[in-house]
Amino acid sequence: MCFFYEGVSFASIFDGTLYVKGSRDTLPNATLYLLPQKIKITTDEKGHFSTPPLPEGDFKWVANISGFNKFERQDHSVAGEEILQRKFFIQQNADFVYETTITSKENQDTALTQLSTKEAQGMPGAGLDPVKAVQNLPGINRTPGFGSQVIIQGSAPQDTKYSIDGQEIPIIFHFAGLSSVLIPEFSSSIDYLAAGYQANYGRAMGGVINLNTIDLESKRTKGMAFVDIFNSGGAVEVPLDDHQSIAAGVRASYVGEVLKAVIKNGLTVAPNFDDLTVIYQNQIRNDLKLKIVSIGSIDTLGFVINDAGNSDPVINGSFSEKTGFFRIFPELTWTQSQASKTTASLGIGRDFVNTQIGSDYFNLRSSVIGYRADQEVHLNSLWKLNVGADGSFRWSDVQFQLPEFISQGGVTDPLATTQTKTASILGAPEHIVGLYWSNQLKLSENSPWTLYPGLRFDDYTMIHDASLSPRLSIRYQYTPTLAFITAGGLYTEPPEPQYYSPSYGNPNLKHSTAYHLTIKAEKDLSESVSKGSSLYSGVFARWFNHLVISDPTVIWSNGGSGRAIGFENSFTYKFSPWSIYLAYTLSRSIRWDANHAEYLYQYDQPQLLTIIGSVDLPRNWKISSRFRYVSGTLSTIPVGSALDTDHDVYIPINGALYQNRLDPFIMLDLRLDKKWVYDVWTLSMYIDIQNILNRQNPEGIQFGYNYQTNQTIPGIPILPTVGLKGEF
Amino acid sequence: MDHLKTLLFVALLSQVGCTSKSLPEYRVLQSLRVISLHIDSPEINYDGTTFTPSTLSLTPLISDLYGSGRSLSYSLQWCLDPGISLGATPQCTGNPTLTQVATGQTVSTTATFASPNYTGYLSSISVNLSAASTTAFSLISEKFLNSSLPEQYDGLALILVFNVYVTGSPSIGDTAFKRVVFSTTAKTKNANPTGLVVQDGTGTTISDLVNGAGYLAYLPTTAAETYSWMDSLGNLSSLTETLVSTWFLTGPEDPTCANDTSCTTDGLFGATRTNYGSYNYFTAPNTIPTNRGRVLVVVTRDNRGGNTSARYVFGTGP
Repeated sequence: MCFFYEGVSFASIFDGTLYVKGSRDTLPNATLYLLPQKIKITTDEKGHFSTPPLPEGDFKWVANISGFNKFERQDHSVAGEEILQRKFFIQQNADFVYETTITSKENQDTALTQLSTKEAQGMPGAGLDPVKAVQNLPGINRTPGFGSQVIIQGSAPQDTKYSIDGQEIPIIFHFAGLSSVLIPEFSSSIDYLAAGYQANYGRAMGGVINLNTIDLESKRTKGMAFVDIFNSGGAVEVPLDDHQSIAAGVRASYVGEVLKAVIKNGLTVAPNFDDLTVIYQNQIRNDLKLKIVSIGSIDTLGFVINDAGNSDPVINGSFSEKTGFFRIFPELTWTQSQASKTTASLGIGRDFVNTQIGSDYFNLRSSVIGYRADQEVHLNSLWKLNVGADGSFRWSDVQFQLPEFISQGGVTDPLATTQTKTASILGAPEHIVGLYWSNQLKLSENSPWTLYPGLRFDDYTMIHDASLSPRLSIRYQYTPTLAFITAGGLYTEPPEPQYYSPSYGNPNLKHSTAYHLTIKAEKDLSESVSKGSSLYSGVFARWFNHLVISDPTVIWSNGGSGRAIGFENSFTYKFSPWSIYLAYTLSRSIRWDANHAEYLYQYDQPQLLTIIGSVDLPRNWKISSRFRYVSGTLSTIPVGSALDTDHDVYIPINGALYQNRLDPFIMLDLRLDKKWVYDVWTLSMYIDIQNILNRQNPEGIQFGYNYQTNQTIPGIPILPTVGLKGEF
Repeated sequence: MDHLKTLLFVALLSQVGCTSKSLPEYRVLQSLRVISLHIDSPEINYDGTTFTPSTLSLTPLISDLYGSGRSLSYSLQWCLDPGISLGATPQCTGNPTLTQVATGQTVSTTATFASPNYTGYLSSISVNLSAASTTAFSLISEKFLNSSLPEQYDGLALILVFNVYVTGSPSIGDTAFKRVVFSTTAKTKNANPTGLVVQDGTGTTISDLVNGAGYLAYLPTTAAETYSWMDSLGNLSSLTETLVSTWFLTGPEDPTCANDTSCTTDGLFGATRTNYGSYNYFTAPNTIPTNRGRVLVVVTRDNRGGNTSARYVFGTGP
């Protein structure tokens, strides 16, 4: 703290703290001026200030801090020395500004796109969920129908792996994709790894979606509470002392109760989802940090089909499902020096699925211990090395009585005509282990070339199989704002348990493979977080082999192949208060096998266009809108059918697979945000209207009983949602 | 599980009215279609070379309500089950065990399949399994003898594929298939349920569907059979058949007609399928058709390949 003045008679001393308005965050190292005395004071690291004795009379406090509105306050110094207390709250002038993560791009995976949670939450149509905002990125296929997965660059939904802080989780979304499983306030950013990602991740031919949890700040207690038409919840973060903190957040949905009241015929258990997250963080020493994240999630649904009628006779009676998981992720980070860091974590938990379908059932209990360890070493100024391991041990207990599910071209044989299998399996422990060696090499100190060679080994013990996957990325920094990147390699993925189960599938299955190749350019013209533009353009190609397909002779086999190629682009233009984002992908995804010549893959979406625009208005208003155009969903139209007179149902006879494309998906969403900033808390309100045009986008096809007629299944109608959120 | 959940979700949407009702109803007889195929012996003996009995009688039950008596033809063939329960196409085309029984045969009117309703039983078709080719016999024998003992005991299947179509327009028609299980001689063979009678709530055989609503029940004279099933380890267990009935009714079926006296309809059932012993609620029509009768057909299956049916006509015609 420093000050200066000319000699006059003394009066009061002012002692106070400078805060960010709307929270109780203090403003350290900020400058205040007292006029007309021309006294300058600076707050300390805790935002505290103290003036010298001031002359009696009126004066004005003035602060002009970057990123904040100009602050002025009249005051008066009285005669007789005394200490007067003051608290000033200064408002940020960028409450809605996107906070993109500014990291050195040379030091990250060339296939990585990272979205800050704040940026992602503000996107219209995402319903404040950052993971749903990822679906606006180029190369991410729209999930048709009522799916709850992320499809990456023409691959299959199951080819995408989801993780929290690098530890795999079984699902990313709650029921029907309404919300992701991690409360957004505990997520700092989302990593999206596409074609050509490096060796430190594996077992996913499509890509990886990783949520990074926040680092707790041991400064002050803070929290939030929200309510909208789907769910409500809250979170609080409490510092235990100056080096450890704890935070907890919970969400409970009630959308199901609304649906149950509206849909009088059918629902017996309202579809609901709940989740709980707890984070504990301890900066044990300057070089040693412990973080423990715990997450639990549960989804429930139940209904009764009173009369199968045109449907499969098996789909009759009561249906109920309860799905959930919990995980504890302890993570230790040890920074030995500026050139060496160790990160080790575990993922310990349980998964469960209880499904009842009439007299059939599927019950799963699974215990899992996942692990991940990474050692980063800067061997010299040109070479950074990462070696590590990731894997899991899993024990599963499964009981089921289910008909076999046989589908070709998206047309499913009636379950009444397939075999019912019953099993009770207490499985032997399954162990998957991955070892990787990843590098970042610069050719010289000032070289524009950076190479990222890597090697990964995966051992799939449950199918007695292993793979060695080389990876390579090359970055050429043409100018400080323009980079060219190429990346590629081999990626492998084990079959899902139901396919290699001895009771239900083919235990002789092996892993599937994909070769990736991508070439792209990134141009960043950002002048600040609120001004500038950026352009991304690239091509990708994937070649798939040994894909798992249905095979009447062995139930499942590795006889499938495919390829996906695409051209993806994104353009961002920010000129405060306006912001425009555009993403366009042109792609083709094809499959084939011994019984089928090349055919369009089920999730082939030749064109994906997303345009998002927003404007920040005075008094903390914001309007944003999203327009999406996606090529129509593919479907297979049977060329005939035959009545199975023993099972009282028609079986489709398929022709060419996926030869029919439905009308395109077109949707316009609108969002209005308003924030009221008070001294120590803020109140936000949003109105999000999805499908404001109320277009009946076709999501799929429903067939008549003999497959000679069909009708499209419409997607969501116009869907307005309203939400309120308070933060302190 | 994701695929299964999607199937169920679509079924729920359909039930709660989130999809339009433009698809035809399974239980309503309108277009040319096969309702059922009845075989006198749904399960037969096989010793590795010879079927006993080797001659079967197949009786199709079909409907062509709005066909105005047009000329129909049929074909019939049989073969070894290609693995339909594992996803194989339900047809005999290209199957080396294919045996043709009839091709392009004219459908003749019968006592029940006649003007003006054209909904009833066709003349029975004789199927001589001994007429198969040497190659077919050899392949069937090889398949059976290479099967495990439990599979031989529980039985493999032949499929009889019946196709009925408008004469000269084979694309207008319907195809159905019926399994004939062949199993080791040690096993007691499955028989069709018999004596299906549809009664109203007072225990009286139904006589007409026009006057008021009422409960309809069914009561087969032969109750569900108890049978033996051998698991993959060779252990025998005793199981009981599950009898399920499907209710078919001619004519348009419009739920809104229940309160609209100007509608012409044959009536409305509460359920398409009922279990043994359960009632099916019927809503009588307000206005009945005058140019034809109304035909009720109930088919009861034992879920092991056996079936029986009952047919009732009210109003005009056989």
